[in-house]
Amino acid sequence: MSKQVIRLGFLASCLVWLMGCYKQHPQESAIIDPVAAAREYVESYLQLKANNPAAGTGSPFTAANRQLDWEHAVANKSGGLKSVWVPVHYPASKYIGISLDRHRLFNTDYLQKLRVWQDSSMVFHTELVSYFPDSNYVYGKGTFSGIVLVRDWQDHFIGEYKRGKDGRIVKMALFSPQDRSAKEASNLMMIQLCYYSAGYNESEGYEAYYWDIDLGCEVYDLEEGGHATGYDEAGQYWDSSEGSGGTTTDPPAIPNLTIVGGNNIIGDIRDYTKCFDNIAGYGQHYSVSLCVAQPVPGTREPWGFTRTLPAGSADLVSAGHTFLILSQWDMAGRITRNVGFYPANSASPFSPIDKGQLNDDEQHSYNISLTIEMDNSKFFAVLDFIAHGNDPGYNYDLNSNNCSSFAIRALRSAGINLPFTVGSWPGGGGFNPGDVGEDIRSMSLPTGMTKSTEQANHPNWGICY
Amino acid sequence: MKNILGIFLLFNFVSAASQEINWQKTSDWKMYKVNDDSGLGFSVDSLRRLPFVQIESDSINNFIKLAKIWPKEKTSIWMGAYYVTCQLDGVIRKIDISVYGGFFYDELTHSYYQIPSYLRNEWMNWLSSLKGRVNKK
Repeated sequence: MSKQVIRLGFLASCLVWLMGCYKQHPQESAIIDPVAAAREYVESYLQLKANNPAAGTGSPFTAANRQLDWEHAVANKSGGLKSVWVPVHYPASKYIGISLDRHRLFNTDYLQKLRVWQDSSMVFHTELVSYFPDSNYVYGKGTFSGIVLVRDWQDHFIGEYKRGKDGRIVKMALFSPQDRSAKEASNLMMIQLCYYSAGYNESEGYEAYYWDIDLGCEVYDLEEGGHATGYDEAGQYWDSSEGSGGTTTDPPAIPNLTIVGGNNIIGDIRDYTKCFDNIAGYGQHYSVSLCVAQPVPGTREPWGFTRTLPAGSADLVSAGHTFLILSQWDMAGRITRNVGFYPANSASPFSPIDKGQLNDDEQHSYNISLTIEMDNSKFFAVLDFIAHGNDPGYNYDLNSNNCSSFAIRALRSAGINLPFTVGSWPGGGGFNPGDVGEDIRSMSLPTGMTKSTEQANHPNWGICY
Repeated sequence: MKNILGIFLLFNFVSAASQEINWQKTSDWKMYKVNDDSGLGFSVDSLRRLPFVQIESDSINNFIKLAKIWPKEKTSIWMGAYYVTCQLDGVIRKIDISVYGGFFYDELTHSYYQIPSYLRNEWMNWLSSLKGRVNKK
């Protein structure tokens, strides 16, 4: 009896001890999903509707309009601390110019992130981080270079840094205009290089106004031959993802920061299609849809002529379009990407050849489509073919390598050989959307293929980092 | 006399048609909800009956002020377009914007323009996002 009591007591002690162990680390449950934890904090405690911070400046970055895109929030380790980066959007995205790079415009939707992080005491902090790239920075290639402006949610200035293409970081000086002129007058051995972003707002129903954002000044001391305001402790804004060790030369703290907008022109096709996994079996499904916008729906006409000039010739000639929708899905969800092949500049029967260019056609309409389910090996054969569409020297040819030819060849590269008509027109001939559309309409389809004359929305879907 | 008048009118027509547009003076830009190819044949009046989104003039002007006009003999085939209107000197103009290549067409003057290649990526991205907004109308 006494032995049983001892055993039961021992087991009960173990149980209590184990539960105690679990209870000793309550914060672990909070960091299992850092994005959810950050969101809970921000939505519970942060004053999301700030009080008119940019009044008077006309800045496009007004706090009252900020929207946090939690769906695309990412967690990483920056400055040695676990941070969550949340894209900040505005109801009407704008394109703005930045004096650091006069040859590009930047979408305000992609310039700002809210950084949420916990310190060693598990206390949450937030910063609004704005990225203003310079001309050295190319999205998706190398490290961010440009100016980073850090403010709190109410737009109070916290700090500003500039990172050169060599990775060197300097703290920017935020002088008032009066201070700038005074310094320029009093110290001829010091040069200030000041930056700004500016634009002009004109919207229906509102009075037009000019706005600018002061991006601070860089100060060079000519006597010392270098920066007067050297700075090297802004690493958290450039630190890489978890496990990198937090060096300041890693990619930006937001490795997936899309500086210049979406992906209408597909600059990097491998990056664009990187979410697809080459997995055999395991419930993975793959399909490719051949989508056709016929120039004259329901006919084999290779051209659609519109608007006749007084001289009797048509000035706008539509050739229609053929493009592909690539999809992979399983129980967990779906990944979709749209790809079409175009001339980089233009093409006409008189000038049929131009450099090829892959394009995201998620907004393109179509009037007939053919969807082909396939296994992973065929799907990736199609992807491999498409990947060459942007190669230097890979040309668009209105007759022999147009959008329809490209799509048909992509399918043939995977062994999917369907009968398509080669049409002809004055001065040339080849595959064309008019014939492809009618070929699909009259096809007897084997198992695994379906056709449709109903257009559904076909946005790109699925994000991976 | 009729011949002289005819020549005079023809000269006026040709000179007006060949003038480059001062895009900076345009305003009231709108993009309409139309399928890619069908809108090429629409008149301004037909277009203006369709759902649209207002385009911020400063955004579009930042792009098109840099556009270069094509020689009159240069044309391109269309593989889809965005359809927009703007106002210039009290006249509503229909502009067809290609979904590729960065070129667009002013239907009033029958002139093609093209965005410089270094801005084309941003231009196409921006148009695509606008089309996304239009499609929700």
